[in-house]
Amino acid sequence: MKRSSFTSNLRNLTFAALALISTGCTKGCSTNNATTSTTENKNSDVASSTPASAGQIQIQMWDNEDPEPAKQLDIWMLQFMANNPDIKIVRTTYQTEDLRQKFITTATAGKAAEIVFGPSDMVGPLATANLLQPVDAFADVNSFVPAAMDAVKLSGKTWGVPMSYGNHLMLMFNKAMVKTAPKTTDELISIAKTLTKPDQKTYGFVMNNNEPFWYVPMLGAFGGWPLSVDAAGKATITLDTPENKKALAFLKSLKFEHHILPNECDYDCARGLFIEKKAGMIVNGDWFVDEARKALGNNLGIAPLPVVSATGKPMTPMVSGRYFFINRHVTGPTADAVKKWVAFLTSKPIQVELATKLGRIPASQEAHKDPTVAGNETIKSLIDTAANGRAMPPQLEMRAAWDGMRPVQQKVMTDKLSPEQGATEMQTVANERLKGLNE
Amino acid sequence: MAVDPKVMEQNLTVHVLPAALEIGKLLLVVSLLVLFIVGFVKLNYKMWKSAFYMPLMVALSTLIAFGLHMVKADYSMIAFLSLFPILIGAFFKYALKGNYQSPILFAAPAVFGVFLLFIYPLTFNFYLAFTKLNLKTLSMWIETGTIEFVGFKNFVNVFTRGSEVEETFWAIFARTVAWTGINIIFHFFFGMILALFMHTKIRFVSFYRTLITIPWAAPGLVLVLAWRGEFHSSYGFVNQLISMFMQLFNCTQQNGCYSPIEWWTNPIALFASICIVNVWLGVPFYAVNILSGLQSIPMSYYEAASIDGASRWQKFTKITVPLLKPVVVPAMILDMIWTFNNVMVVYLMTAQRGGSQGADILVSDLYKQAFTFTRYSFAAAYAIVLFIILGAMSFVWLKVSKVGESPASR
Repeated sequence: MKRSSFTSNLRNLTFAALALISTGCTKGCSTNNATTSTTENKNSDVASSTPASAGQIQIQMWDNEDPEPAKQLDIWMLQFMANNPDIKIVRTTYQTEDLRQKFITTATAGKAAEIVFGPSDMVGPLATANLLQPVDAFADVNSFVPAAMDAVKLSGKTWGVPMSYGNHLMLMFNKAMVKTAPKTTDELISIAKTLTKPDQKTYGFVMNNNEPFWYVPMLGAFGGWPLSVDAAGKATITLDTPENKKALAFLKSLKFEHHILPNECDYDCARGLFIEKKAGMIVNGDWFVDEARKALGNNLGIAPLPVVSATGKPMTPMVSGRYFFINRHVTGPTADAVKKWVAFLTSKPIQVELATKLGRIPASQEAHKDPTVAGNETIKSLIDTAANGRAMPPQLEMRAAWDGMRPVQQKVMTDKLSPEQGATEMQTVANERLKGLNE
Repeated sequence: MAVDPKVMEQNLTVHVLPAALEIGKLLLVVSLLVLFIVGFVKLNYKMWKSAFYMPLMVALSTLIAFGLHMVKADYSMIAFLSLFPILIGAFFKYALKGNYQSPILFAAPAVFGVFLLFIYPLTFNFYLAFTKLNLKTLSMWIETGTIEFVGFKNFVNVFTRGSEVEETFWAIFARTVAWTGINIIFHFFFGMILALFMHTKIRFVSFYRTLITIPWAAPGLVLVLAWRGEFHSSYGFVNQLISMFMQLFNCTQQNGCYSPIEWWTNPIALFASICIVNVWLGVPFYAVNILSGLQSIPMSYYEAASIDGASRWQKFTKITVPLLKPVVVPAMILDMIWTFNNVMVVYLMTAQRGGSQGADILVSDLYKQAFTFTRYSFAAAYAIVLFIILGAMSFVWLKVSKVGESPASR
């Protein structure tokens, strides 16, 4: 049933009001204004200063791109608009969490962007809330790397068109400090110990200790995984498992037994230490390659995550990519314009540029066959690092699993909980979050 | 396909004229709206005596209800909006009876604005609190405009939530009360000291006044994020300062006597760090308020007290403190509301995500429940509970402090 614009306006007003009231902003509003600033802090609005001219179709695209890749995206955007003067693209960048929240809030009012460009884990919440439409009509889904598609298939439908494949974690190292990449965790620990000198603020190995996305590869190496999905597609959160207990014990040992992880090291801390050449190795994602290359030049080494010595199995990063998700309200000429824009970005020339200029694995199979891509050393190493990966589960349950794992992982890493208690508590919190999603 | 750099710059540069035109359009719409409201009020003043007045208003209500029904609006929305002409009609006919025309005309646009931005959202939030709106029911709401009614279940959940892994409402409430109390006390204490300092006849006092207001005047977001960095266990200056201090007693990390405080991940330390940051941010507000109060106390009072032989302490407790009360008490009420509701500092210091629950206060927990965990109806009920708590606290505080009463009535 299509809603009228008047009702949409009222709903928009309603949701804006909900945001206002739910944040307790009933008087003064000093706090809430500042929170809004938080959201807008990283936002950049490109090509929005001039309104679409008569007859022009305007497409809003919201993303969570880092500043450097965003510049390249702007160049492609201008190229596209130069060749399609009847279409105007307006791109706005948000932080990942804000992107999801803002899209849910505004899409409910029928006012959200036509396209969301982001990671695959947006599928669960957005598709469950029925805010997206399947993408079969917007692209040939068989033309992409099959592994890239697994992360956006839910309830038998495909919800995203991939721009790139990967978005996964890998080991990066500074060749000036670490000659060859460690193949196993024993080697990694040994190298890291020789380089770690906390009094000089230098470390052998850094990673984001607080986020479960960085922990999941270890869980995979111990034979565990946050979700188990049956043949019917029903997902179950599987965190209170012996595998999770062992993996948590391993993670904890890096800090408390081997003393190679710095205290309270979050993403910015790990990134900063590596860029400033105060850390020999880092676990980070493909989005960081460009920045690391600029900082370290030819001294940047890229390798797959090591094999966990205790199990003999490699760490398994979650693999997905970056996708275009289409608002369910996009129809008619706007849908045609969106299709053109998506086709442009997934066309071979742009996909080749994506590989050569941004160092990302293209999602298009055709681009993989291009000699420039096939012979690109960075892309080869990125493909190698993704080889042991597993697709990020798109189910909504994964959202609950993340929310359950995050606070408990922090407790384990501050020695508030044992790994055994941690695994049990992760399961309980995740179950509570899942229950909360149904309230 | 290279793009001309000039074209690129043109497209990526923010142009002033379109932005100004947008603002112009907005002003035009607001002006027309104000004109419409003023016209509507005037019309009511002209017609209120007419025998057809109330039937007309009832007809208008029916028309609005019909119109909303035609555009498939929610029944709650239809009931809410269509009731207004009748209420307005009753107000003009039986309450105003043609009086107060000028004040009503002046107040009408503001009342409309308040209704739009406050009353309606509040009413809708109230409605939402009795329903079941979450990610799974969102699509049904979009499609049909209806949400399942669940009665008081969300309110019950607010008070009964909590398990071995999740804090109870009461635990977070106790922390929020502690947070509010600690902040108000330290805001007042340091604010008073600073105000007394700035009230003295010292050199460069204007410079000090400017300096002291920086935490209040600068963007809070930047300051809080900078402070968060300073509380990093390895690189923050707070731990480095503590480390240097401990070295005075031959207590170092190497000899195992001292280990750096993990401000970000230890809930108690995190809560302490949030309090420190918020105290630092809030002191200038009190300092400026108290200073203005101090400057309004006539010097003759002090001179008379001096003649009577009063000590400095007696002057402070018998003249300064009582005369500052009308300034300090409203400031404290405002501070209580702002601090109780201060989502920004807590949210940013707890790294904005679902972690570090041990340092959350009610409003930051509410924000996470609504927007991180997408429990919309639960959060709506939670917001009402907070609203009631704050209202009750303000009411009690006003009664206890007796501010607002005329001296004769005391």
